[in-house]
Amino acid sequence: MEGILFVLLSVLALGGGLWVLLRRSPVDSALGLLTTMVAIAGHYMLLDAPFLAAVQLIVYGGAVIILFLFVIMLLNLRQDRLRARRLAAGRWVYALAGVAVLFCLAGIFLAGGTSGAVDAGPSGTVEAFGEALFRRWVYPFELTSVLLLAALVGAVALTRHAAPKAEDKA
Amino acid sequence: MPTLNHYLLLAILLFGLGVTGVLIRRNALVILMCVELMLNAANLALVAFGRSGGSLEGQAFAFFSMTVAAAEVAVGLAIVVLIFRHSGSTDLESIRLVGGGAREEQ
Amino acid sequence: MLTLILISLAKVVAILLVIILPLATLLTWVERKQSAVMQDRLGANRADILGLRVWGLFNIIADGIKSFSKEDWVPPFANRFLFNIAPFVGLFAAMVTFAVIPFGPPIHIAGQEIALQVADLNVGFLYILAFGSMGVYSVVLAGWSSNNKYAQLGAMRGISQMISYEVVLGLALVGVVLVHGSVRLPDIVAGQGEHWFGWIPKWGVFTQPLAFLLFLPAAIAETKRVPFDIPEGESEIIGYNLEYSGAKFALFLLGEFIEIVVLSALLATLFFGGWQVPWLADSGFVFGNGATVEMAPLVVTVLRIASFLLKVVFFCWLQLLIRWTLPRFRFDHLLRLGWREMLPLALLNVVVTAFVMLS
Repeated sequence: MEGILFVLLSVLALGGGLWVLLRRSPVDSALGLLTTMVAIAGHYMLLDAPFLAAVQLIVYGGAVIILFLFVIMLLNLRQDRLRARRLAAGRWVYALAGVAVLFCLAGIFLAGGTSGAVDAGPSGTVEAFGEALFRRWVYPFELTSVLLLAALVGAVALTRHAAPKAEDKA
Repeated sequence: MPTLNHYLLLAILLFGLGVTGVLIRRNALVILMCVELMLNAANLALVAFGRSGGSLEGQAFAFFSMTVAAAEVAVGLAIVVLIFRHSGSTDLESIRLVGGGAREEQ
Repeated sequence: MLTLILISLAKVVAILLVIILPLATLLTWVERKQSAVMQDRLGANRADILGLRVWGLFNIIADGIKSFSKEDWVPPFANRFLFNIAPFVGLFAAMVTFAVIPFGPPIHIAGQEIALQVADLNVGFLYILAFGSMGVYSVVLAGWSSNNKYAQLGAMRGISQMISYEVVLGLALVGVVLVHGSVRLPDIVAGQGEHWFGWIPKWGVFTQPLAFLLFLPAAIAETKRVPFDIPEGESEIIGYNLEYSGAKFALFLLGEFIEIVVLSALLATLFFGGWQVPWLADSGFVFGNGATVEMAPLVVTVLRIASFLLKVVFFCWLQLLIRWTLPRFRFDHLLRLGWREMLPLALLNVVVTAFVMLS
């Protein structure tokens, strides 16, 4: 049962990833990314981390990809215009990337020693995770709030300052 | 019953897809998406390692990396919008900041 | 294993056939009648079968036949696949949210305890937030795949509105979670079965009044209905479902009505005690002055399920009332309300609740 689910979710995740890479339309790419994110949330459920699965859906499904889609619609990017050039100039890069992936693969499997099962840890329920988060990792947790605030201010400042400039030029 | 190796293999493949995407795509948005792909691959590996190591540490790492990813996307997309306003395109090849602003597309 | 699957299946079918679909289809008629009553009109009453009219109830059937016999038009430059799945995404997101809502107390059949809830998930209300946010994709896909600038602008308004109010929604719920110390909905409902001084039930609306006042408008904003119907704006501006016709347009409407039902169930569960009846304990009524009324367990269970259904129906009605009372917001007012007024209040609510719970 778990094996079947694992294979299914992995196929979904990798298929979504390929979709991100190969589609011309950025919206299609974003939907491929969504597939991958949902599949990974499923993997988190399999790994007995329900809290993380829910957060994955909320953060990625509900916010990040929606944000991508919003920007795509804002800029009205219907088609990637650069397909024709991409293949010609990108061929050697393809090869490089393939080598990089193989290198990683080989490195991991030559190193070996990772034959562990994945059912040893405590279950990542909301209670257990909250307990860990607010006892052991309470400082990092508080720091993330600063990080998010900085990102918020940064994003607003970036796009706000640009608006009058663009008008000045025009 | 999937083992740690299976999860790591999946994470490697996803990460490889992300790397390849960053290298071959030129649309800044798609490149950001591929970065997300890599981050997620890393998260998956972290959670799997945490599970096999018998602690919640992996999950906590993944949780923090998600918040960082969310912040990164917010700022990243703001930059993409800026680039678009500046050069009328999200294509990274068409942007030559050093050479003096946007270059015409060939 | 098999019995478990069968029981879950039975619960899903029961929820779909007893709560969601009948209420949602009835609402299509109730909305027309409600608006008619409020505008001093007669409302839908013409559809008849052999001269029988029953207050226009047959209009439901007539509406169905009409929409399904209309041409199912797909714009020539649309992305067909996304265009076709968009309405279903909305339906799906609305319906699966119901899975974690307990619609009755646990019942005992043949020595087995059966929870009247499809899935008692550990992540409880996070699940609701996760799948509630999936509803945005319906708007996005519809607006984008139509390949029409007005639909696309409508979808963009939809995204801004829905992700803005999702934040308020989540923060309002945090207050409720803090009060009950659990994110599981059965725990939240059980916690609301207690009373202050034996008389005032500890319903969410009394323990978290501010959260309720924030949750209601935020949730209505999520359903994209008046006064928050800017993404659609059926009367003047044009929205994301502009290119849809026939059966698929009807699916959007049905999805909207299902969202109303789900939202009513959520309001009842989180703020009005779910299936709890005030002063009704497992053994019967227990009042604050010590008076008791003994009751058979079966009667108690039936009363509780009935109270849940009654609350759901009441909130459906309340939403229709709001929809036909208020005018639409202007878009900048809407976003300002969400970010500058409701969000700080929601944060304040969380902080105050946390301090009260600690002290």
